[in-house]
Amino acid sequence: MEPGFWTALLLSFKVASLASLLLLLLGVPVAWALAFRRFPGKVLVESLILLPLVLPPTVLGFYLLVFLAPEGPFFRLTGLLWAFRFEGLVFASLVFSLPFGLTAYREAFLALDPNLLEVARTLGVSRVRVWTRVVLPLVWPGLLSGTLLAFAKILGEFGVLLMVGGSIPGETQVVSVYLYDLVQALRFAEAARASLVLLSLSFLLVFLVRLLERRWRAWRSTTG
Amino acid sequence: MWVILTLVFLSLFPAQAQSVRVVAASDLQYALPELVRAFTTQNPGVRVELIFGSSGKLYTQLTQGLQADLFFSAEDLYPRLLEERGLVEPGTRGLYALGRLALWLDRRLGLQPGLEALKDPRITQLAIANPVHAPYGRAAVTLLERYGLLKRREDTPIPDFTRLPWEAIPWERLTGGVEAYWDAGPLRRGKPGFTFVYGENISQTAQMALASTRAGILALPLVVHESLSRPGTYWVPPPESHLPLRQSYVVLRGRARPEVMAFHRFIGSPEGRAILKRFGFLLPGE
Repeated sequence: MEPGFWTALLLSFKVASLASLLLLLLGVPVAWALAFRRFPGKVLVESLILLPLVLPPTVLGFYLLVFLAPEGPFFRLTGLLWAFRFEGLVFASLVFSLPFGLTAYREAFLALDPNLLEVARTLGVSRVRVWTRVVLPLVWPGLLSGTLLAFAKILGEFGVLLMVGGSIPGETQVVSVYLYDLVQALRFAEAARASLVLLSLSFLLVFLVRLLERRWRAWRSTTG
Repeated sequence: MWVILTLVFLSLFPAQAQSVRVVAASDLQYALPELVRAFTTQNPGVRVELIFGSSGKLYTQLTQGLQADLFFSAEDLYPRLLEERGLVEPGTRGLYALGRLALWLDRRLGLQPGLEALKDPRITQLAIANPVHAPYGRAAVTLLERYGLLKRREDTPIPDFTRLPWEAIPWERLTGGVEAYWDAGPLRRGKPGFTFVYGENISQTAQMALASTRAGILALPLVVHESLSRPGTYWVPPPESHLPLRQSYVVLRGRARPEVMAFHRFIGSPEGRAILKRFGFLLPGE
């Protein structure tokens, strides 16, 4: 395998890890609010979060590029130029992986037994301890599988990342874009090898998510 | 898992090595790596990074914030537009080569290389680069017109490209593809059909020709490479039969570091010119 492949794969891992971790940190409070709170415009927010699921990647890529460009609102507000930069890829990945993470997180919270939380609170357990002792032990498989799913989605994304990132080796040339460049350069044998690695990797991730969900269900049905 | 994440975080922002980043038209896909090899043997320690695409797309990306040191375009138009926008280091715009087209045909068709081959009924698709943003695509269209294989449609009059400068031709308005402006009738005569397939850049166009259309108007510097010359035959039209491909390059504003300027000079050096010539480019002043 060419060294360029490993550079691109490592870059994909960096983008996917950072973005899915940010998704976990930012997404959990949002998913909690979506599961338990009532607020005006909730359906609207839910639709907006699901939007990247159905939006053509080029449309999303275009808007993100306009948003991040030198004349765009993001640059004017922050002075940061993120188009065709690593940071821009992480930002874009966070956006298009939202539905994958948030849906899984919300499901995990909705499966919580509300009585359990009530009981914990009435017994005078602090909020922090309710989270560490009751909520997290029950929902962590759901949070993990949502994060893994988002991770896999980011690892495989092509259209958005090509538009927002260009194809700068080591900075924005993620593995899917690297593969596209290989095919354009007529290096089919290398492209076939790289594809095989990605296929195995994607399968492994999906397998892991399924395994987690099964374990979780089985475990819940015995305890619940 | 946390160990992995920590490692990822630690390696997130690596120290920038001493390197030159070049964005280039895809017709340089094979010639530029060769130029870089020759340059780095003379200048060890300098790393040259190459990014390929269509000239028009790279131009757009450069105006949208893509960071690069040098830009090699397949046509002088884009470096000139960058200069007008004040994005170019003064005095660095230079002609490095003249591009040449090649009609490439799948060897298995057994056709005599030449434009006449396009009348063969087995060729139902022709791969060309997208004329909207790829200079080779525009040159391809003008080549076909010059040989009477395409006609301008009378209901959509456009200026005569042989008299007008490049930028006066409304390529960006070709949203309906070439056939919105040109009549493919002459090409189709006696044939069930003939359509264009557009590549995003000339290198992808080559891939399309190789993988499916079996015919394409490509760049000579790509066609002479073994990956295309072995499975195919080709015909090279005279350079005056299509829109000239005056290939220019620039150093981008604020990027005139010593190693960047050294690479800029190397392209115009006898050694650099010899390599470009070997890959099928015509050289300015020859």
